[in-house]
Amino acid sequence: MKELAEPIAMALPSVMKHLKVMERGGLVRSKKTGRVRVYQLRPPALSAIDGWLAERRAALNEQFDRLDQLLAEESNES
Amino acid sequence: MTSNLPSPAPSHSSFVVERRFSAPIERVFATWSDPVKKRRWSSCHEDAGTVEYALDFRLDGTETSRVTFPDGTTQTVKARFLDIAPPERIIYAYDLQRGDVRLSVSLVTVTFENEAGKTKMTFTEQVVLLDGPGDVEERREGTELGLARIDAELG
Repeated sequence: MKELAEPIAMALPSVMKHLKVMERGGLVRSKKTGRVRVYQLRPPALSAIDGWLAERRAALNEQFDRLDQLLAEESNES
Repeated sequence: MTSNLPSPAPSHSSFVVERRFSAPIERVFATWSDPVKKRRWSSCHEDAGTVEYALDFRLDGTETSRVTFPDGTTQTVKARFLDIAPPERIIYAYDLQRGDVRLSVSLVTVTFENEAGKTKMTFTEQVVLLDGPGDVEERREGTELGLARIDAELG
């Protein structure tokens, strides 16, 4: 954490606060080994699956809207 | 596909989408089993390019949908029906390929429940994502394209 704070003009407690927010938001993850806490960027595979899920859900909702519309049209025809 | 970059490990996830329709259960089930009806609501790339579509709705039967975009790239979805219990349940596996790269493999369970003449549909998908190296950015662009198309349709 000290290493992360050194190159930027920010007090250590502020850096800690920022890192905690980033960890809650899923941008980084951390692991404590003895007195040292190591921060790591979240692996890109996770954001890939999040992107896939968002895309898939959007596409499905679009499709099921059309399914609903198809059923409504059939009701009007009969 | 050969690449010097290591492929990331497959990632897994699952999600559920629920919908209620005012039509009776048999009619909702028919929108999945009838090829003409299925194509009408499920093929979302008709505007984007040439579409090949075939549905053989029976146990061990397959469904294939192939889109060729104006730039020549193809996207193929191939499904196989593993369990069919009309009008309550359909289970199928499918994979998605762009060109000759397989992007994902999924297991889908669709259930239909009668609710006083109306129908509750529950769609559950368990996915294995097989992103090759460098695909994340492309996928993000794809998502944005997809969302832009929804915007255009709503607008």
